[in-house]
Amino acid sequence: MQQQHYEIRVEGHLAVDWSDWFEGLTVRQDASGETVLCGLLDQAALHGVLAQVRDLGLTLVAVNRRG
Amino acid sequence: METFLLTTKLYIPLPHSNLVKRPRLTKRLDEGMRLGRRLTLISASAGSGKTTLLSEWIHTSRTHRGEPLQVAWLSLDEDDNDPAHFWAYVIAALQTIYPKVGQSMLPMLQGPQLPPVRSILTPLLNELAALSEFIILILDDYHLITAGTIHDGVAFLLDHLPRQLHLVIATRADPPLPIARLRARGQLTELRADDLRFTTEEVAAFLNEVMGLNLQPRDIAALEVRTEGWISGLHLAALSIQGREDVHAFVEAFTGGHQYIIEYLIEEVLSQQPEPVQRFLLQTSIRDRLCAPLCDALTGEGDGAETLERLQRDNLFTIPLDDEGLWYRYHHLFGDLLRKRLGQAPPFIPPASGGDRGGGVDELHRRASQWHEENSLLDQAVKHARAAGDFERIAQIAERAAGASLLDARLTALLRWVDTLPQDVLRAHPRLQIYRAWALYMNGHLEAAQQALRNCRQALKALPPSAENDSLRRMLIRLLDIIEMIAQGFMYDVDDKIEEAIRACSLARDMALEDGHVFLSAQATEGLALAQYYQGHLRASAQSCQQVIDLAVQGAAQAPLAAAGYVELAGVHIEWNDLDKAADLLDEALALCREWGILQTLNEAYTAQSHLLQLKRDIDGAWEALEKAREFSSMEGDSSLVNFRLSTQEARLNLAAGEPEKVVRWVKETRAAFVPGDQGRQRLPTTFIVTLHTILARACLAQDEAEEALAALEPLQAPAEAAGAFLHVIEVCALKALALQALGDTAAALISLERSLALAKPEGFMRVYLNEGAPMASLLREAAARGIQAEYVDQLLAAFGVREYGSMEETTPTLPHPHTQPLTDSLTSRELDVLHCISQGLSNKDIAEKLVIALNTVKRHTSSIYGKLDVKSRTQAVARARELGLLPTDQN
Repeated sequence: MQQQHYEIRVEGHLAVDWSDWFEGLTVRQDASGETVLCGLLDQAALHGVLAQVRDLGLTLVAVNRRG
Repeated sequence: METFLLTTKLYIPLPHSNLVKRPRLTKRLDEGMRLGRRLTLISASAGSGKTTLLSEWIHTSRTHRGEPLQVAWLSLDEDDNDPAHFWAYVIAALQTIYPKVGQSMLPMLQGPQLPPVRSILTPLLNELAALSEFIILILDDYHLITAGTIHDGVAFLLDHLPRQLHLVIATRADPPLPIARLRARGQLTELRADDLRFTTEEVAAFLNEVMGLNLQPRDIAALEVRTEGWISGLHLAALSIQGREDVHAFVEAFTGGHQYIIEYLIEEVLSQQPEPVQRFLLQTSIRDRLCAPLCDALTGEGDGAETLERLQRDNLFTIPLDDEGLWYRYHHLFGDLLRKRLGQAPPFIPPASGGDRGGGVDELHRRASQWHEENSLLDQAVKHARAAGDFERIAQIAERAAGASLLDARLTALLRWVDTLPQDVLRAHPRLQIYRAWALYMNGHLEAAQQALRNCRQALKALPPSAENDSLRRMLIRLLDIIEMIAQGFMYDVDDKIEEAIRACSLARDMALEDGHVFLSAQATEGLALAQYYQGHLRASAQSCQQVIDLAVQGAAQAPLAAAGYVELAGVHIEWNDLDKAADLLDEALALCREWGILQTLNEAYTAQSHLLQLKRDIDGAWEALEKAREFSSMEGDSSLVNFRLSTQEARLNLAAGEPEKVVRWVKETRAAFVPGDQGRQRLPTTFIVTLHTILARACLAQDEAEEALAALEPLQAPAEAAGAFLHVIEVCALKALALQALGDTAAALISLERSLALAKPEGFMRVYLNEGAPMASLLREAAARGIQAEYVDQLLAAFGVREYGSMEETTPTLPHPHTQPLTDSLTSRELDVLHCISQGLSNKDIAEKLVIALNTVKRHTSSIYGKLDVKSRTQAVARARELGLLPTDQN
């Protein structure tokens, strides 16, 4: 499965050093109080990230594929 | 290797003495019980209080008779994704209530291959259905299960749940189970995040009463809004507030921001702790289960017991896993956050003395690995070594473990560990390579094993010379020789060089005995027994089988080999027509297989039993045994061999049921699947070819197609003679004789029969002739009349007499023609009905429809009719029945 550029938004501000826990995605806080995780992922890695979001009790706002 | 279970996973967590009572939720759980629903699903995010709620419910609720609930608890983790592991734990959890439940299923789960899950669950469900008490089975953290086969098994469990069992699943994600269906049928009690979050009253009760904070209503309201009633968030907030002067300022700062609640609060909570406690929490966070000595090993301090106790007392997310206060775990979410923080800023940890690596997280994993190895928790030891990236350590653990378990025959775990090692580490451990080859071989991967053995030789050569290495090399090369010879022997049993197999196996047996490798010598002897059997040396084979059994018993932990020995020995006794003895031996084998969970042999034993019951004319029993064999056939490894053995027996039964057309079709399909010389397809081993063709010949003879029978047999004799496979020569020549006789060439028939008899006589073969029934008896009488092997033929004919007429005290030396003998068992009226239909030329299917019975029942009747009339085909049956006056002769 090919890697795609994904953007995952969760509620709340995560510290930027969480990158390692999310398959190396960049972690960016936005002004609305959400955190945006973005980067290249294949399907398995995407599901890994979503499981991580779940396990940290984070509220998932959106998953978008870009480009 | 490591089969014992962690009892901490079965521990029902005690509710904290001081907690918010949640009757609105426990009532709903009670109601689910009362309404007899199958499943309770508690599906909500991490830290929302699922486990705590269940714990409170279990400890406060009562049955309608006022008794405590009977609960089997299982806390799952990632390692439970192996179905064998999972179901062993489920059974262990149930055994905390009923120590005997599922006892007979456990060995099946410990064998090298897992039987189909319904064959484990069906007896378990039956046992549970027989219980008088009501049990609740709780599976906590079910989201950690990702294996589809486990979900399938749980779905099967749900579909067949007995009244006495209620299932509770607590999970962070909805499981792939038929939830919607249960919901629609009102068989589901469901609690979700919205149900679990604290209400305003619960928030107030928690903060002020449980945590003793005495907060102002506006602060309580602010915290409730910020955390949305999420229990872990509130818990951490309360811990951060404890002991603070400026409570309101903290609440304002916390509720005013957007930070990820848990991360923000854990920083706050940690900073409230003294530095040694902070370090302790971080260093021990790499483990999900902790005890004081393990903590001490990780921290290098001696205060583990004290600190764990303090953490629990202070309500710092430390949960006891037993009543004795030995094992603890951190709350999952808390542990995750601690680990994250450990990864960002590991506290300084000095490297182990003499170690060449730096400190830090890897060093913590190395310490954890060492502690677990010292405490014989090898799977965990390997897991931490892998986390530390220390493959050399994995190799050493495996090597030490393998030395002890080579005799254990359970090498699956070893194979799993070693397969993750990089090539260079494996090359540096030749002994490990040999064990790996052995494990492959034991698991039925013969070709991979041979390849691995070849690589071992290379690795041994590459060892740098030294006194120690030289002696290691000598020892290992000898071990290698033995293993290679055994492997060779086993390879040959499906090939065509029997003498060589016998030579290799006897040499390996002697060498292994000399070196004290009992297990290896038993393996070699088993190969020898098999080769001798194909050679037609029944007596020698029986002796070798007995030797296998003796050696295996001597080695105590080698029951799997004893079982194989019993099955082989039973085969010899069947040929000798000592069916009772064979039955006893198969019972021994089956008992051992069940006790030890030896699936491969279980399958062989049931197949052999099916054959035996067929010979004893218990056709129902024979089909039943075949079904059982089939149940245990879905294994990895040498499945083509297993399936072939099964379908061969099925063909024999079909032949006996008078369906030669089916058998002919099977032979054609099987041959097509193995085209000789066609690359990419497996070549059909010689013994398979012989089996296929002899069965085909019998099917042809049953259809009065002697020419075709002869054609099927013709190409077999010469190669079998050349290979020294006299077992095959004896059978092929006997069948050829029948075909020739059917073609009217009695002289040629007798020549072929004479060759067969000459080989068979010294070894006392019986069944190979008896199985062919009346045509063989009449041909043997022709031989007797001409004085061919007179004494032996007399014995055989006498045996025909016993077989024909039941338990006669004496058999008349000269037998009357069987066709003039009355039937000992008269046909039942139903069999007569079937016989009438046959005589009208109806197919089995037509008969089933006409008599309104199942097709299998028709088959059973036909084979019983054939048995009683001693015929092998429909035309013969009708002819014989007319002779006996069972059918009117004028009917057409």
